[in-house]
Amino acid sequence: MTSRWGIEWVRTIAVLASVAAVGPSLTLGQDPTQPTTPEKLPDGISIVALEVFPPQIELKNKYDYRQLLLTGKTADGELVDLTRIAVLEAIPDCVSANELRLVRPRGDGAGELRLRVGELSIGVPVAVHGFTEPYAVSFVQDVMPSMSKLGCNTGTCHGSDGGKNGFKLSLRGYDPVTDHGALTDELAGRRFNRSAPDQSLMLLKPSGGVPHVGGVLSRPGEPAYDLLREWIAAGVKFDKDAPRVVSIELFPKDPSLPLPGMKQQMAVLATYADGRVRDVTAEAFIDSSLAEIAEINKQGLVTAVRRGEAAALARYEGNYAAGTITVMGDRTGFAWEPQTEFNFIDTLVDEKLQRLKILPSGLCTDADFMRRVSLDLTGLPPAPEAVRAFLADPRESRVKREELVDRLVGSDAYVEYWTNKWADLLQVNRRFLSEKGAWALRNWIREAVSHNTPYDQFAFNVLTASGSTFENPPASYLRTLREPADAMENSTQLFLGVRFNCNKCHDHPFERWTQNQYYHLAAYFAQVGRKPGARADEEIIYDTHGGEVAHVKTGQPVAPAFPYEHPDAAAPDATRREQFARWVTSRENQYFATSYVNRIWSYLLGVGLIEPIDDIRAGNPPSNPQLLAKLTEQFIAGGFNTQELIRLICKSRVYQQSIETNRWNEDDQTNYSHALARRLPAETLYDAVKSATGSASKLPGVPAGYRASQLPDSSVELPGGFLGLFGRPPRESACECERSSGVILGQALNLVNGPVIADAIADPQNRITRLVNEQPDDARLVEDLFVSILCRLPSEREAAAGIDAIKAGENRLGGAQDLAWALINSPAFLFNH
Amino acid sequence: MSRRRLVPGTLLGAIALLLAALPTIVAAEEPAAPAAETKVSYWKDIRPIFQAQCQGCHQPAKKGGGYLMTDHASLLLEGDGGLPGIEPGSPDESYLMAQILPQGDKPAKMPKGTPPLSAVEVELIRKWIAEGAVDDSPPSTAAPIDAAHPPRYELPPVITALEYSPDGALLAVSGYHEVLLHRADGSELVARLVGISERVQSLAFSPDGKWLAVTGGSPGRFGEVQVWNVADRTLAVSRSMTFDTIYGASWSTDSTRVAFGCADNTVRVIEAATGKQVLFQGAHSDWVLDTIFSTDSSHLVSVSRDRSMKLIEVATERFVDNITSITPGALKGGLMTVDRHPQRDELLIGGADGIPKLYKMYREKARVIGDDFNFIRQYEGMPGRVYAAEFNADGSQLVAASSDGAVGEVRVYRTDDAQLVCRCEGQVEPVYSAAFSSDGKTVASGGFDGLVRLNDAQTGKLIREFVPVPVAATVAAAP
Repeated sequence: MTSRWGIEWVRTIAVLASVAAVGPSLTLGQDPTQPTTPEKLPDGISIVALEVFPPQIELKNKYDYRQLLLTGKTADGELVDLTRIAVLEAIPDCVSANELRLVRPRGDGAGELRLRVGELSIGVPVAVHGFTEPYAVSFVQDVMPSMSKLGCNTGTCHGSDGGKNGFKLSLRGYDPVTDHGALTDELAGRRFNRSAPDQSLMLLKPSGGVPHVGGVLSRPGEPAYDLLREWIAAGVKFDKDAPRVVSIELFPKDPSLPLPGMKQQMAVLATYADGRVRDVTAEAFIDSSLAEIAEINKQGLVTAVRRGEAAALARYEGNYAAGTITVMGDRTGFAWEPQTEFNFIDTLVDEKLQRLKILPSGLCTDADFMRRVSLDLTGLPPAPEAVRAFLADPRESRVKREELVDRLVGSDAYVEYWTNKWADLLQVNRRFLSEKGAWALRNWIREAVSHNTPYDQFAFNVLTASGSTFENPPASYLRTLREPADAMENSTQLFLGVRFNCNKCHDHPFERWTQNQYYHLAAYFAQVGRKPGARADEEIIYDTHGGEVAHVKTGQPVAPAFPYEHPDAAAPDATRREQFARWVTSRENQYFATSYVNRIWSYLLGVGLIEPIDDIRAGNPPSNPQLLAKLTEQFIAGGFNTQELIRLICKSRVYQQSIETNRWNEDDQTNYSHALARRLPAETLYDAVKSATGSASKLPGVPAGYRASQLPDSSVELPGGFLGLFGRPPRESACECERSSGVILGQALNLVNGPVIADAIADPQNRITRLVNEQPDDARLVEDLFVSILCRLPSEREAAAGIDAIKAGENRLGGAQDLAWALINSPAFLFNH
Repeated sequence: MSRRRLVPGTLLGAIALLLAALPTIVAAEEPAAPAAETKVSYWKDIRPIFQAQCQGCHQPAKKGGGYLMTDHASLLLEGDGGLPGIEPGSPDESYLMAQILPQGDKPAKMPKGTPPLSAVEVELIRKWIAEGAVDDSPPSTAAPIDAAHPPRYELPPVITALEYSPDGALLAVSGYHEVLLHRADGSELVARLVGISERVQSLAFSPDGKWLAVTGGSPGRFGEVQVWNVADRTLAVSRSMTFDTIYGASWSTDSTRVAFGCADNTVRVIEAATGKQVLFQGAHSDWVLDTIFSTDSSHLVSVSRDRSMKLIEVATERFVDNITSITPGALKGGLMTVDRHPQRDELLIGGADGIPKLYKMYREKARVIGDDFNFIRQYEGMPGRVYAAEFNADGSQLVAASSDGAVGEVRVYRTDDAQLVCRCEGQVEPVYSAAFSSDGKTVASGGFDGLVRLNDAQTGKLIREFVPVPVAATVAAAP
């Protein structure tokens, strides 16, 4: 991957160098906050029309301002930012505009501001009033955001858990009440001075009058200093009833930047509870999700770094808005070619590919498809006989493939494999459940998977089950999760893909979730009782109709309430768990079906539409929102039918694409233009080794022949720790991150030297021994080994090399074993591709 | 940049004279003028860089590397490295330059943990040193505040401390840069004790009534202990120490020594007559906010933001005991006030949990980690934190003042059965200080709103409220 990007860089730089040779230079790789040579448009881009945002400006007090955005439409129909490139031809006396074209008032008046680009010019009517009238500085609306932007309350400064130097603020300013107290009340008013406002410690520190580890942040005459000073002079009042921000909007929507080095100014507007809309660009935070693709500086100026997509997340006073920034890069010579479409997935993926100028790879071979879909749906490679039959089937490829998908979905092997996945997520672990309880829960999951229980019912059962964990195994969920807060955190992450854990101690720093909501939601698990059953290790789960969760800050009990409402509510007399389960599993819940669809998609395609798959939030938007929405809609319309969803995905062209790349998709990892290689998961790898060699599976604690995917829980391990080494999850949380798919040195050593592969190959009862005995022809033997292990026929070169390998062995069996060992240790075996 | 702006106004006349006398020479000199002008200024060019990038760590309260960068003279001194930070005229021999420049392939050592200084900044510093590292700081332009120029108030300051004199004649109240002495009944301002400390954090009359100890300072800059002669209103001793405001003055029972707590986590005692430091104790791990001597002055008790109350033996300066339980997390924000019963070694404390509590000073059982054996009783919880708590003269009652940041209260309790005697009416905003008159009949209190209130100590009825500082007429009514 590194080298691939290396090539991309060289190419990009070469393109830029050629641009630079004939025209103005671009500021590739430079710090966007540092002044550089005047920004200019790359040569060859001609502007045919201008558009300005906002179309007129009205400033209502001396601290009011507006960020201008000037957009040019090119001859090719692309939109480019001209905000700083345009010449400020005329500006009325009543305002000033800085180099980023942030317009601030200078006095009451009106006039027209005029911007020119080449032959085109555009005017913006400007009016200022109220400049000389006293402005009542609001603590909530002015002081708090201003201090946030100075950085006072960040996690590394006074927002850290212990504060800094004895002075603590709430993290990122989520709690104005505490912060007002810290500024005005603590140590009897140490930090402000009504008698001499400029002598206030809270001004002397950030302006450098008193040494400050955080440095000099604002000086007299700057808005942040002046606002704070006026607020102190007016008596440090706390306007706790001031209207709060209810939403913010980020402009422009989803901008696209044609070339690396080009820039785009962003603007943020906030809407308050009283309907007022205010430009807050200067105090808002806008962060890039991928700084290697697009950097965003403190003023909201985006600089394109290299081709790709990054999310821009704007944050202001606990509100969030996100947009996608696309850096197109040079795609000269690209031409879209019409693609085969099997279903709507292909249509929606292709729409995005076409927009990003990516050309998908074609379909994979039938053999690759069979191995891929078998591993994905059953956790087992296809048997050699099945491979030969599939390849020999003369019917049209698409027909054969769809038939195979239909055969695999719901098969016994499928049931075992998907049971194991849910056993991970529901933490089937004898440490929490006892051995009997672990078996009971696994068997219950198996029943549900084999009956294809609708997903909403499945989740509802897990959340509401009562009684003995042996008699009604899903009740084990609350045997494992014993605290209301743990049960709530686990349930939101597992069933909604939303992480409700940061806000246990403070408002979520990247999402709208508040600390209060955490305790309100946890209250739904406050009335769960647990008592021992009659049998050893048995526990009974029941609803108590009493008990509350206490808020960590107040110590007071908190009533149950949902962080967002939808109309599909349980009856008021339902138990709290039933109310919670109904709210979670409803088709009206915006996250429930979506998070599951995304989870299944990521299992099958290797990367989620949202990634990580259990961290859905505004700042982490889906790579293809239309596709996720349509899949969700279909899933809900089909009655939460998991098998139908899996069939739909596997029958798309996108799922069946080749892993080979072309010039136009070699750098794509997120838009599904080609298949992605995935290392086999631990249990699948073990089962595949056994299947490939034909050696019978012998696992501790289960009957011979049981697959690794059938193990009841994670405490069953092979000598040498094979399953743990290859990333089997310990089942201590519902986080998808527990399963590791990484590649580490210990794995390579185990594959080369470890007992699992060596024993399987040396097993005298295995298929290799049988083939050597039954197949006298070396060429046929090689072919059989390829089909058994790699599920495909060898190429001519591979066949020749295979024959050589067999001949080179100390005897024929030894040679065949050597060849099998080499094939198992090849990426073609170790990866699903 | 305009050249003219750089010429101080008073020099203009002299230059005009020179121009008249020597026109040809001036004309000839003109091309040289721009060169002189580009000389680097410490005040305008260098100091702002140090302020923004260096002073956070190299300030008196921290003194990273043993090197100070907050004033010009200190810049020329040696740090822990043993080399002078700046060798005027020789950037290459100045240790400071070696710290801010990359060494070989290693990045610059300073500023630590932040991006290096820009090339422009480094060059400015180098040039300033090469030109002699001259100090061109202008003389301070701030108007002095002293007895001849007492502070002027547009709004009354927050009241952080007030105290009655033992003879019952005076009520001392904290102001900005001063202590205001009022008649005890609030009828007249009789004296203004103006000092160099912006902030007054505590007041304590000596038991014999001759002296008034004042602690305070300027936040983030310096701390000061003042001892005033009450009779003739003169400052007998001013002792500056530490780099932040000083808290919690208390007197030894023989009126010879003053104890106080500091923001450097130390407890100290000075001789009142000379200012000489006679005790220094560093057992606390956060700011020390109040102190009190035992009845025989053999021991000293201190309370701190670190949530503990500590017992110190005066003669040996030795830490003896944690009097309170120090269960971790029991109390956030710490203890802020301590007083001793007038006859018994029993201690009244208040702090962040809002509950005034009574403790025995000396331990009667062997110490066990996390125990609370010295606890006697507690009083009804108050809103927010308890900022002040004090016994009356015979110890039969106590007064406590509190704030939760928005509202506050003053209450009087009976010491021995914890019964509430009264709530003091009129106090609704945060209260930071409260005191009993010497006859025990009146409670004075003050806080956020800047008004002194006098209440009947038995009924809580408001007797009088007044602004203790002279406020400009237009805003006298505020807030």
